[in-house]
Amino acid sequence: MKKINIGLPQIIIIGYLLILTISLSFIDIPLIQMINASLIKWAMNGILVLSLVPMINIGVGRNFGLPIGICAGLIGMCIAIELRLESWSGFLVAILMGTVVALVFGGIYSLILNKLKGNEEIVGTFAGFSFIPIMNIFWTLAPFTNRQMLYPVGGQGLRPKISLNQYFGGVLDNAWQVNIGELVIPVGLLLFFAILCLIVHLFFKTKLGTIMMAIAENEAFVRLSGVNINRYRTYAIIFSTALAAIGICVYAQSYGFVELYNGPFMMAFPAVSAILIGGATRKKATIFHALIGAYLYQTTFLLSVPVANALLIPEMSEVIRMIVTNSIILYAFLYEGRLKKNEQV
Amino acid sequence: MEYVLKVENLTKKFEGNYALKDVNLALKKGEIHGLVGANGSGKSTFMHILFGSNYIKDTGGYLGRITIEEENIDINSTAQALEKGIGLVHQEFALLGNLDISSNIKINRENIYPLSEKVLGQEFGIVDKKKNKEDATAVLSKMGVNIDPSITVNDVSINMKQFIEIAREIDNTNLKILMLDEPTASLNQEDTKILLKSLKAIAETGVSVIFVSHRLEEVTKICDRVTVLRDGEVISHYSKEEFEINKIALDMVGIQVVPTKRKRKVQNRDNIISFQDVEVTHGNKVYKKISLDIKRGEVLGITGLAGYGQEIFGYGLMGLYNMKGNVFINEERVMPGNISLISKKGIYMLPDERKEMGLLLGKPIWENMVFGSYEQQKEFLKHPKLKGLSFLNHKVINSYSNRLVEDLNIKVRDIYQPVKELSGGNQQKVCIGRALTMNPEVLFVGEPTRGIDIYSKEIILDMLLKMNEEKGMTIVISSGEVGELKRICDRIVIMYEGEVFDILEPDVDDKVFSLAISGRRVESYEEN
Repeated sequence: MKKINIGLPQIIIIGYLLILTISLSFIDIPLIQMINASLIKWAMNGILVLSLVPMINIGVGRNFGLPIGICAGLIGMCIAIELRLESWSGFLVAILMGTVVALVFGGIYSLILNKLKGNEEIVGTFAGFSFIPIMNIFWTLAPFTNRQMLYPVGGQGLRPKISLNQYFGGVLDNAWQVNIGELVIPVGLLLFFAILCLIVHLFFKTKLGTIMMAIAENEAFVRLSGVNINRYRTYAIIFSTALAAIGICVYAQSYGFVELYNGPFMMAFPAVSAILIGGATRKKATIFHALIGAYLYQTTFLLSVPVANALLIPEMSEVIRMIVTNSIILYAFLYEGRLKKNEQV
Repeated sequence: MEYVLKVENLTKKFEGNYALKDVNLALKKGEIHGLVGANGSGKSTFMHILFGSNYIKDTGGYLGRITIEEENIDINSTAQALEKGIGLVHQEFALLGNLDISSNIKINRENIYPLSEKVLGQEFGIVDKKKNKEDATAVLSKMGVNIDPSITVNDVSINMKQFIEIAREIDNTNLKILMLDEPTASLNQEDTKILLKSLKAIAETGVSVIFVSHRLEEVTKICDRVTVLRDGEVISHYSKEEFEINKIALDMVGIQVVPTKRKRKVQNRDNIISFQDVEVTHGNKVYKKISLDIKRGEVLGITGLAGYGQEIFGYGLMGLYNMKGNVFINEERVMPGNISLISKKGIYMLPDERKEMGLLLGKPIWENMVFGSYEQQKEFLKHPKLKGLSFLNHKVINSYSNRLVEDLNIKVRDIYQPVKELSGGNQQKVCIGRALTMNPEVLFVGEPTRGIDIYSKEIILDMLLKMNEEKGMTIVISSGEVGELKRICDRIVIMYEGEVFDILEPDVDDKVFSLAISGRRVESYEEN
């Protein structure tokens, strides 16, 4: 059933990865350490990539409005920090509250997307962009009282970067770590990631899921079967938004900080780029695409930083990162344009 | 007499189906040549080939010889067709609504101030709007129309738009052949007269006209010769002396006498669906004051020429077209277009556009057969109590689909084969299978046998009849195939120019049918 779809982007990225791995041996960085880090990076970003799957599969397109879901997760985490919850309880409350907020945000977001069918991706991009300033006002005005999250001077408004060290930083990363020689496998983190993947995978096997996939393929057909398309689109958008909220919680516990304000601004692009590298199209994405894409994309950048720092000027890695991220998205658009043209008879 | 255009053995295939087959046609200088034929007979394809439309090239081009003024040419693009002096007036308007009339007429042939042309070159020259307007006024008055050419096109009536379209082509001084696709379809009687008169005037200036219309009165009135197409082939040629509307109509529709296959049941049943004075709009087409009663348990046929609204009932009810007005299902008033509600009332439609709306082409056969029926057929779900979150019960679905595939004699590898790999006939059988699964009370079917081989046609018609007889399903078939409708229907509705023209019994004489389809009643036939 599953076909590995190897196209030009996959070949380029795998080639790039190979070059990086080879050049790694010329500088003093042990490969095993890189593998350890890549596993963390994979799951840390993977859920954000996974969160794109429901919206793609119902045909809404790649969710460039990812910051909306991320903001929901950020609110969840802020609530957990406000309550001074530590370790697992903090993490779980953050996820729970984040999901609840995501239900509301997702509902509002779906209203917009359902009104503007056909342009979801561009509308999503701007919905995401314009949502961030609104949230910025919220961050400065929200009545949080935990001094560790407020600006040290003045004591009002949340600070841009809140440390999670005392709360639930690394709670998943460090859970059930298995050491095989120097190789460290973060079983807890990977397990959490795997469970979410499984949930999404199974969801698309249910009646709801099969109807969603049919909507992506042929909306007119599904409508003639008496299905209320917008209702299903709303479900999918909320599902994606909630996953994004969970995704940012996992990301933040790995990263060690909660980044507010403009932190989520550009987060949609790496995620979209990753799932495209995995082989997803505008209307079809599997868990497999998300997994492969997230790993290839994140590992590439993980490796490129030390290599670029050693061999080239230090800023080069960031430049390459931007070029690859955005050109993969551009390539996907061009490729779809060509497919569309061929379909028109 | 000199021939402007000669077409020899013109053939065009779309994915294995012949749209045109060995068509021969010769056009004299200054003549008006009528091209008539039913829905899908290849008239539009013919014109698009001559006009070099993109989609002809994209679908593999055409075969045959086209000669314009003794010169053998190969038409590849619209630009080339225009250069050779071929103009086409589309059925749908191709006008720029925000520009004024003169700009529309002079588009790509704008007058440019000579000095600016010398300095800036042709492309960047400054447009002489005054001269454009003069030209536009001249060409419009040549057609017998007086209007200020500085009005924007959006602000003029549909009639006027049609004149502007034609004026744009006539303004091309190079024009040798003018093709008109249903130019009178959107005109009222008065304007039709003006248009026909100006077409004659245009022809007298030496331009040859190819005139496509369903209205045979007009065709016989202004044309010098007529060619009848049916299923992509030339059926007959007539010249002015031989014109006889009834004969042409019969050639067009091509009814063959086929023994009726079905005994009709007693009528006078109650209405299951009743449309009362509804208005249907779709694009720029408006169908007004339409009423029709559909009786419980009948097989109702709806026919007519293309674009006259055979499909509006199903499409309007299912919200594909915008339908307003009183619709009663089982004497209960419903909002047309509210599909969730209407499907709950047991109404289902298999649309004409099978590939666009009737199938999930990329999905396997089993899914196409059972999709959307999970509500009615609880056994398709593993845990019906979980509702939407339940998995599908593949064991039940598989055995059900395998049985249907066998019953309907669908030629497939297995039920996991994607539907897009099947032939048209087998795809239609999958649609029928789907209708069986949905098991509606009323089934609307659009063009059930279009593009399907003779053998499969019979199976599909049989299945439709079987559903009607065994399950008491009411079936409404809209189709251009009058012969088939006559065999299986209880009543046949004839649509003409967007109105319910007549409702005929299927055993009525063929000639009456052909006349009704071209908008004439029996009385006028008898008068002849």
